[in-house]
Amino acid sequence: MIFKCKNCGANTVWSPEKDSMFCPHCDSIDSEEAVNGSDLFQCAACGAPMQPKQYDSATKCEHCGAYTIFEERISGEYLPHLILPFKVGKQKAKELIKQEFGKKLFLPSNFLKESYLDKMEGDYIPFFLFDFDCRYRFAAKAKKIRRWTTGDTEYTETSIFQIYRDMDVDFSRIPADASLAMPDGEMDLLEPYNYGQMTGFEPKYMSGFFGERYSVSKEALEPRAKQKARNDAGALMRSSIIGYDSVTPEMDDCQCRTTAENYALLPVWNYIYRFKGKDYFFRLNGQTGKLVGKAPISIGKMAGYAATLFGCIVAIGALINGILGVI
Amino acid sequence: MKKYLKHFCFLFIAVGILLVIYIAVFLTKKPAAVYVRTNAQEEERVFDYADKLTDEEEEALRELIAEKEVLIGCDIVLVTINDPSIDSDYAIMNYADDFYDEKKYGFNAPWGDGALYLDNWANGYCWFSTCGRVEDRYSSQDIDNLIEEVCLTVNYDPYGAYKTYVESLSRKMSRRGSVDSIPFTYVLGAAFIITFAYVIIGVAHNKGKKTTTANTYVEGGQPLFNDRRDIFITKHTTSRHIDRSSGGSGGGGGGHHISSGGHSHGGGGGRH
Repeated sequence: MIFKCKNCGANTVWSPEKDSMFCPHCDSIDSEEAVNGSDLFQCAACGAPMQPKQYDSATKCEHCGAYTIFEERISGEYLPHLILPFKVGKQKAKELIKQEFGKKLFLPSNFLKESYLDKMEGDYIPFFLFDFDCRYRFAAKAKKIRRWTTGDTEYTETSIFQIYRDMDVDFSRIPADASLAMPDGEMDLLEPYNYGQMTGFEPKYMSGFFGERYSVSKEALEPRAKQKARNDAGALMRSSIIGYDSVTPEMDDCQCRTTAENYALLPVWNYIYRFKGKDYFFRLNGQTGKLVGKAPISIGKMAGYAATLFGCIVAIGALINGILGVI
Repeated sequence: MKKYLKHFCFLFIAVGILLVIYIAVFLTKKPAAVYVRTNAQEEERVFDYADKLTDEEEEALRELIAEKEVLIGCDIVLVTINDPSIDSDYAIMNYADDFYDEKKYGFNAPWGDGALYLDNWANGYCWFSTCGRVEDRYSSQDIDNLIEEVCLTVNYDPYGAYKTYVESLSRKMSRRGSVDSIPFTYVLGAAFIITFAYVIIGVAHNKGKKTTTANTYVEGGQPLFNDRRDIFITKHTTSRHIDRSSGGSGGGGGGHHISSGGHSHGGGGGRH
């Protein structure tokens, strides 16, 4: 599937800035029409051969630059229930990266160059969003300790309490990324997404971006999401027990029941920077602009800056000594 | 390059300003004022009993001492001996103090401002005896530094080492030296620590911060508590006697003591 402009026939794409479909060729808004008929190995726009990866659901034709969406990977069991359209455009994503790393001193000099940042691509990452109803029951002995001194005697008063908690907590749409290619830790750090802007799936939102179908099943992801729910429930429980010096649990039981799961596509900008034979990955939340990634360090630049600082401090010390000696 | 210059501009400006000040002060400095001697009981300053200096070297040291004494207002005495019986810090200290006292050294008065460096070549014991303003000015650390400086080269270059003694003493006692300069090792240490911290801060960068909280995905934002009780059960109190013992402390510095002649001296010794 490809989205073409009704006015000029060029490939229309989803524009986060305009919050609508946009034709980069004739500047038309919402002039798209879906053209079906592409297969996995042929571009729907120019007919050039394509070689999508195993889980790609949308890609860019290397020949004509048109964005093709593979219908068989967004239908049937792979039909997403929900999609969160990109809200951060490429230009904004580049600015956010510059803003984050612009003040870093020891970056390689070409790290923030436009030609490098232009290689950044938007990608719809498959997620399963789980709903859980949890019941947390907790019992413990807790101590409050108070100390004071009178004359040469120190007194210690220990008060003992019995604590009971029974808490119901319902979690909604805990995300777990269903992409083998994306590291779980990085995807977790990109959270949270504002689900208020999520909408029912429509293929047009994928035009202009790359996309993947899920490569990890919801059954495989459910334990990870459930563990997230348990951790959060545990933190909420602990936050309700305050003012004690020690707490010794007697019962600590959290039961979570899955009540719903939704297959959704969430937007992520990917910037891959290669430095001294190593790839550095930067992910940017395509809705909130939150950035995750650790920048490389140019050892030469760092040595130069450090040597300058060291030299200046020594020079200042020597000059102050010189002035004190002369006066 | 532009970023580099912008980043260090304040430091470069600071170095530039200090350089200008240094040059200006250096070019406009006035010759130091000269002290007027009010005690001249003993004129000789160099006693090379151990015969470690040539006549020319002795004469050169006398000239140097004469030049420095009027600038700092202190007597500067050098004594070398070759006496195996003086074989302890205590013995050499007494010898040095008595020598100073007997000759009634002191630029301003007998037993007044001055210093004596005694070197026993029989066993390497040496002593730096201070009196008057020199005694006040020299801390134990300063005395140790001077002795270390002299002992560093005295075995192969006695003249150079004794010249170092005279110059170091006059530098310390000069009006300019009244403001202590920052030891260069401190400057290097500070530069190293600041640079190290700078690099650590420059390199440190988290991959990303977790910005979800425990209730990010909680429906309604808060859990519902069906039961939330904190029941007091019991209380007990224990007591403990506190031991209050006092400790003492001591201090010192400059090696202050009274010589057998009854005059106050400072000083310290070493061995080469």
